[in-house]
Amino acid sequence: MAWTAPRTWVAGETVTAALLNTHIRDNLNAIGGAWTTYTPTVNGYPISSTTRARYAECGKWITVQYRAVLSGAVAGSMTCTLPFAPAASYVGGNGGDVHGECLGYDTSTGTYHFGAVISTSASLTTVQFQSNTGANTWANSIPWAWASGDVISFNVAYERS
Amino acid sequence: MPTPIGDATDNWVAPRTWTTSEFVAAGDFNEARDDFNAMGLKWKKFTPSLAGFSAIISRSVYAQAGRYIIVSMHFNSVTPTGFMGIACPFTSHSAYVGGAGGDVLGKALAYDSSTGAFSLGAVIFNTGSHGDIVFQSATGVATWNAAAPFTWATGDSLSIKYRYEAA
Repeated sequence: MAWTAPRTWVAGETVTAALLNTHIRDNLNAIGGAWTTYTPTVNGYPISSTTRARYAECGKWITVQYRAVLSGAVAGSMTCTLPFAPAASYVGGNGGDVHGECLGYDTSTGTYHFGAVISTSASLTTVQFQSNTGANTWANSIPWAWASGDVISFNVAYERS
Repeated sequence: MPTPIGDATDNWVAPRTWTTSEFVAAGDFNEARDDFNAMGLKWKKFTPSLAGFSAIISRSVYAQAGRYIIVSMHFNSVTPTGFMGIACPFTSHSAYVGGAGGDVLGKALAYDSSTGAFSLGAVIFNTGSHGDIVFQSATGVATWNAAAPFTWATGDSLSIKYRYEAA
């Protein structure tokens, strides 16, 4: 359910069912209803059909839950798009604003790697993943040599443009 | 659904669909009020079900906007007896995956009072579950237990913050 800018009511106006449904029911459902699926654009890593991307929209407040299973090796830096661009005040690239946390899982060893999600320097809508220690942006061998079956997930909340 | 500790007039209810020419009662608008209160009033206390550890619960609260749930917890005197897990206030949407490589929902912070060291971990659903969380060390294979991320002792604490889509 899409968010609609809440109505400013005026004295003497006729309050219709349609207005109440749009500005009260639908906006409450936008906040509290089932999350919306979207298809992100990913770069640097091939993914299988088990990818999931869902977001909640409360006006400018966006929350995303994402998970993908890799179908092959990683080539270059790993990036993924958000459903909406963050507000322009946010900073992309190394040292940028943290939107949330990411988790990589190496199926061959059972090892987890926790990290931070930030926008890239090229686009606020596109996020990259940073290791929790070191100057490491997740890529083909960072934080390990990714392979088919490995899992990446992230959870972010941010202000959209 | 947990039994919230506190006021029952701010529980989320499914938003009403209004129909043309209906009589609008105060109670109808108050349903909308309750939903706004569910989001905007103080977070609800609840008593969590702990697995694999005992602790003094210093805070266990959640905010609810329909299916959108945010949970914040803090425990003192954490004493694990096995793998540590906690029941969520609401079961998650079935789309989410429990266990190895599952969805990251948030973060946990363990504090070793004997050394002053903090250990950061990830919150994920437990294997095969959409209603229980466990904790993974930030790097490595360890699911938190009596010996991970360190050997817990009296005075150690655990704080947790996560968010998810409920069923």
